[in-house]
Amino acid sequence: MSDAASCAPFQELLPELALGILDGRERAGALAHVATCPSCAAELEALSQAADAVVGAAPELEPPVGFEVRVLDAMHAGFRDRSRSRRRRRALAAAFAALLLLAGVGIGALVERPSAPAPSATLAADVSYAPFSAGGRPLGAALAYGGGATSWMFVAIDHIRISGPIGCMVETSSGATVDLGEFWLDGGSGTWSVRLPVATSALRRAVLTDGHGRVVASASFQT
Amino acid sequence: MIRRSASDRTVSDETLLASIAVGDERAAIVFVRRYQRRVFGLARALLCDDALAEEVSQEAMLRVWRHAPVFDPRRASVATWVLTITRNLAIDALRVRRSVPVDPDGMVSLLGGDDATDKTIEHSLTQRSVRAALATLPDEQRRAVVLAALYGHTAAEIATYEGIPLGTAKGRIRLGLAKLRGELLEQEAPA
Repeated sequence: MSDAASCAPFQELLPELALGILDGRERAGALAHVATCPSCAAELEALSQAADAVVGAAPELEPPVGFEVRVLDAMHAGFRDRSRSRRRRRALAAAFAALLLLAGVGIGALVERPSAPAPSATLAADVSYAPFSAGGRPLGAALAYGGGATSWMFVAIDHIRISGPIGCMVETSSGATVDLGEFWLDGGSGTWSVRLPVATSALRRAVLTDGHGRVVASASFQT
Repeated sequence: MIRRSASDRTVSDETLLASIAVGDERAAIVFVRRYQRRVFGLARALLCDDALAEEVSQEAMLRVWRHAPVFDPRRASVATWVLTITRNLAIDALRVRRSVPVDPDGMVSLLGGDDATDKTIEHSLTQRSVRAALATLPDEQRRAVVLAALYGHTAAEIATYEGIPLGTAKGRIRLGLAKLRGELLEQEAPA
């Protein structure tokens, strides 16, 4: 419920909020109010449109000769890198599979029978595997590997439609959520490895979030 | 996909971005041609330096291309998104190179002035109408709005820059943005 009195302190902040110039604390408070107050939300929307219009008001100017070519060259290099990275991803997927085999666990066993037979490989393997999928479509996987003093997690992602930072967290059997930081997806794919501060046996779920903190994929660890 | 299109202008910005997001190089070419004058114009106005403006403009284009998959047309227009990226990169460049003289006064008069030639493609809020709306603001309000919207200055920074109390700065921002919004609404729906 909001009334004029409760809106007043936040209404004063709306112009600065719309312009994006409020500092952290004031911004958080104002956004929290706007989330629950339709009239302030509408006002913010209207002010934001005006603020956005100013960004578009600078006069157009022809860039120096060759600008277009230089930009397209840089993009073209990026397009080439993307197809290179597709080959790299296939190589990584193969490496992933090799790691699983080293750990003495066949991929077939993991996919078809989550409770796989005990590994017999030479490496002391404490392995957990969490395949990401959405609507039945595989998106990648996280592989947690604990050998000796250090545990590691290796994440390979393909087909998440994001280019940008991806947050990675794991949930443990004690109910804790451990933030493992961010990695970068380019064109929807990427790989990443990170040291795990918890034992692989304690892992229950892996969760990936986008730049706004929204969950984009999650998976349960199968050991 | 855009390959069938005979004319650049028949494809919407959103469609172009969606095509770029799936790696359509033709769409990228059309997009750069469509936006380079606006992007460079904004960068040059903020940075007052051709070489730096080109660097920032190029990075802005690449960033648009890289982030095309995450663009959400419900949250902003393509033009606003592209130019906001450009503005933010320019502000970063200004902060890094503190020795580069900025010319907000030049920018303010640039934006408040009348532009007889407007070769832009039609949008819902053309540059010309926004500049006309800005021109109706009292000088000090226009300065405050421009310093905030284009240079990213906070009310406190504007107060320092203009040599006025914080409350006065906030008031100018508030009144200026409200008046701008009113002018833009009036342009869209003439009585």
